[in-house]
Order: sequence, then C-alpha cells, then structure tokens
Amino acid sequence: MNAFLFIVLIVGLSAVLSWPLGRYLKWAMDPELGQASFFDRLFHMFGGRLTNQAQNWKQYSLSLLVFNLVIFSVSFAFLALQHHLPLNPDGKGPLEGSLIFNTAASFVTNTNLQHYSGEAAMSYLSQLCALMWLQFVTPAVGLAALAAIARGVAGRKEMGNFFLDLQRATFLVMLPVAVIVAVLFLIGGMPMTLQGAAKVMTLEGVEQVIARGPVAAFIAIKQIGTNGGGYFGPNSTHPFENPSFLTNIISTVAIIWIPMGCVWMFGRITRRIHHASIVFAVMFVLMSCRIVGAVYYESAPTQAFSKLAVEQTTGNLEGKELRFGTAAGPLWAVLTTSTSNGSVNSMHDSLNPMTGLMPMIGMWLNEDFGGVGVGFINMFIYLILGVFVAGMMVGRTPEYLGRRVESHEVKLAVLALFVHALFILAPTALFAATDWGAKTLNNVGAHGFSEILYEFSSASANNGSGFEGLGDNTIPWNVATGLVMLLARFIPIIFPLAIAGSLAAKKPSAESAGTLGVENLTFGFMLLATILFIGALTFFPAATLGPIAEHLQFMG
Amino acid sequence: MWIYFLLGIVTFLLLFLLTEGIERWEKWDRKLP
Repeated sequence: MNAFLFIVLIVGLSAVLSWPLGRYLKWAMDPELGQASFFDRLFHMFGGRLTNQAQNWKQYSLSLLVFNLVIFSVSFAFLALQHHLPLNPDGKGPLEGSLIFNTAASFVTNTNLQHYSGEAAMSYLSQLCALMWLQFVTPAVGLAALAAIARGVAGRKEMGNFFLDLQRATFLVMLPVAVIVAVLFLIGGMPMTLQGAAKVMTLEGVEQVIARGPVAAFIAIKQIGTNGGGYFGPNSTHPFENPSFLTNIISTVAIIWIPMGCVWMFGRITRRIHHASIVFAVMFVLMSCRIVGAVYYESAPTQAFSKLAVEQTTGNLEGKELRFGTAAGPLWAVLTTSTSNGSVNSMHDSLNPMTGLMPMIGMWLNEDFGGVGVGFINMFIYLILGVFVAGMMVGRTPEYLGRRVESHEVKLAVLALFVHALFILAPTALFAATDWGAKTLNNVGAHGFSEILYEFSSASANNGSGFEGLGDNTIPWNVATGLVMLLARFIPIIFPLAIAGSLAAKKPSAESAGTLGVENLTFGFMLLATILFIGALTFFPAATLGPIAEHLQFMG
Repeated sequence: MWIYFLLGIVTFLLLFLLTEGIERWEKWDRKLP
C-alpha cells in the first residue's frame, strides 16, 4: 500500500474514532448525577468503605501509592515463587532477584521494559497473574489520576475517590475494549491456548519446540493500555504476536486510540472542549512532524548497504518485517514512543540514526499523546508553564481555566519536568562513563551512547521499548532502570495532582479582556513553542552525542 | 532476592514522604497555618 495513504489511514482513523471514545470515557469516569448509578452501586459494593469517601489531592495520591505498593508486592511474589506454583507446564525455573525487581517495577509502572524473553523465562501463571492483570490496572491508574486532575481543574474541591475511579477505568474502559480487540486479533490469527509449547518434526527430521499460549488476550491489553510488554521476546515482530497486515493495522490504531480519547475526556470533564481541541491539535502536530521525519529518514537505505549492488530504492529494510514494508516500522516506532506503549514491530537499533532520534524525542517530550491518562497529565505540566510564560510575555494575569497560576504551581510544574530530565540524563552519563554501561554494549561510539540514552529515556518515560544491542539483564541495569521507572512514574503523577488540588482551592476569577485565552490558535502556538524550547534546551546536547553525531559520521 | 523487594518498599516509602512533604511545603510556601 502507498506509504502516505497507509499513514493517513492509521492516524486519521485513530483521531476520528477518539471523539466518540472521549464521550464514552467521560460517561464512564465522571458520570453525571444519576447516570451510571448501576455500575457505581456495584463498585461501591465491591470496594466497600474504601470507595465511600471523596478525597482531596493528598488522600487521592496516598491511595494511589498504597494500591501500587500492594500490586508491586503481589507481582513480586508471583515472579519469585513461579517454580513452586501451578500453570507451569514447561517447568520454567526461578528468576534472578534483580530481574524480578526490574520486571515487577516495570509492569507496575505501565512501562513493561523487558530484560527477559517471555516465552523462555515466564510460566503461564506468571504471564497471567503477575504481568497480564497489571496491564489492565496500571493504565486504569493513569486514567483515574487524569480524571481526578480534570475535576480539580474544573474547580471541584473534592477530586473523586481513587478506588472508585480505578474500578470505573478497569471494568468500564480497559476490560470491554480489550475483549473487543482480542476478538479481532483472534480473527486475525493469533493463538489463544493454555496448552504447553507445540513439538513438531521439521522436514529435516529435527524436533522443533514452538512456544504458544494465551497470546490474543495478552496482546489486546498490551496495545490498548499503552503497555507494550510482549508475550514473546521479539514483541510484535513475532508472527504469533502480529500475524498479518490486518493485525498490524488494528494494533497500530489500538496503540494511539485511548491516549487520543483522554484529551476529549479532559475537555468534557472540565467543560472546555475548545481548549481540548487546541491541545489535541498541538499534540497531533508534534506527533505528525515526527512521523514525517521518521518515514523520510527511513526511506534511505541503511549505511551498511549503501555501497552494495543491491536494490536501493526500497529504504532501510534492516530489522524490518518484510511482510509489513518499510513505512510500517518507523510509523509504529513513532506511535509506540508517542504513547508510552513501547511495543515494536521492527528493531529500533537498526533504524537509521536520524530515524532513531524520532522515537527518542517522543519519550523526551512524553506528552503527544502519551500513556493512558498520564500523557495528558504530562501535557498539563506544559500547559501550566505555557500559561505562565505567555502571561508574563504579554503582561496578562496567568490563569488556567479561570484560576490564577501562581509561583507555587509553577514550582511544582518545573520540578515535575526536571525529574523526567534528571532520570534520563544523569544515569545515562553514569552508565556511559563506567563499565556498568560500557561493557554491556554491542556497539561503540555514538551508536553505543544512543543505546544507553534510549534505555534510560524508555525507563523514565515509562515506555518500555528497547533500542537493544544492549546486554541489559545485569544487576546494575536491572536496579537502575527499576528505580528510574518507579520514581519517574509516580512523581510526575503526584506533582500534577498537587497542582490541580491547589487550583481547585482557589476562587474562580471571571474572564475579562485582561484574561489570557487558552482556546485560540495563539495559545496553541505558544504551547507548541514552550514544549519545543524546553525539550530542545534539555535534550539537544545528549542528542548531538548520540544519533546526530552518528548521522554526521555517516555523511562523511 | 528479598533485598530487592525491600528496595521496592523503600522507594514507595520515599514517595509517601514526598507526598507529605509537598503538602507541608505548600503550607509553608503560602504561609498557611
């Protein structure tokens, strides 16, 4: 299929479908009085006293942390004891301690960075009870946090109840959407079985063991929940995890759909749909620029083939699934890093240097459209800064949706941004300068630096994709990325919750001629400039040492 | 193995303290009682 039409089909279809989804998300997560009362009664029944009390930002944050501490502990226990537990027909053995910590941290934070190969290391019980259920509840945590922030920004003193929101997000959003997508995947040819690996005799007379399992169910929630953790080690390049061009299209739409819908949900809860439209447009422009860049740079052959007498017009086919073509790889690479999904349908280590920069930019900015719920939360930080900077520039009162933005909110927003950059750049420098990183590289020079930079960008953005070419199942890598994932997940949720709580406590001010408008194109350009300037000032030096230096070396 | 479990627990404890710290800082920053 023509590459341009393919991209327009995927991105356009996702954007169109996100509008009705936003309406549904509002209905599910923030029902009007009297609406959805049947489900809420059920959730109150399940949740008991935990769901009865409305919470302020601090109570909401503490509930969120307590829940995540519990699921971390449960996941850790399942992984640590898998060799003693049932549903292990292939007799998978115990895992190493730091790998268990990394894996539990990874799946609790919706990152799904994998320093193991699923089919080789995990029992079926571990896949289902330690990993798959987290793929339902961790995006639900992000969606719940966004709903709470939207309520705070809308001026409600109480920001909802975390345990009620969590059940709404899990049972009214993640579960039904995952069932629909799983059925589509089954039709597309993905396996779904609890039988052990198949043993077959090849034409050469050698016995071959073919791993299989409950793949369709796993992959559906992997994609819609911006999880990205593959059932198989090669992720969506594996023929059982992405069998056909049809499943590739469904997967690609599923990656971006709910993050796009979250923007409209925010607009509906705050009753500022025009503002949401401006934010959606800014996110869409940022994502589209990176898609165009990635597809353009990937249309050139890889440097290793440039002097060979082979066909040079098909673009870089190294590390690609030939059945999907050249354009599907970079498109997926941009979408999966736009959304903190992290699944791959091509090997990112094989992307041309400047193509590899596009996914990295997505993880550095981490807001277009970002992970389920948390993508808009990251954009909320830029919105606070954008409003403040724009207000200072034109001499108007910095206000966001009718509430004054003062130094306290700006300090919290700057700290949240600083944390993301710190958790990428500091450990990258440490690992690049020591044997912890240098001895695990398969490449030297700029490309080796890119591998380290990508790994920490992926961990801090809770993305989970890997540049690979990296022997990352070591104690230093497992501990460092595990800590980065935990801290970089929850600090950028807690700070925006505190900002929303602070805004909610303020008296609304009537809009006047002196109010800075946030529903016009001028503000859209201002927001875009804020994101680009902050992003460039923070990450450009690191980019020049990695992908840009490698690109210039190839140019001679 | 369980030392890594403790590492996770300590990380969450730090996050609890951070949440408490933000509230105290807000009161101090705004000179609230």
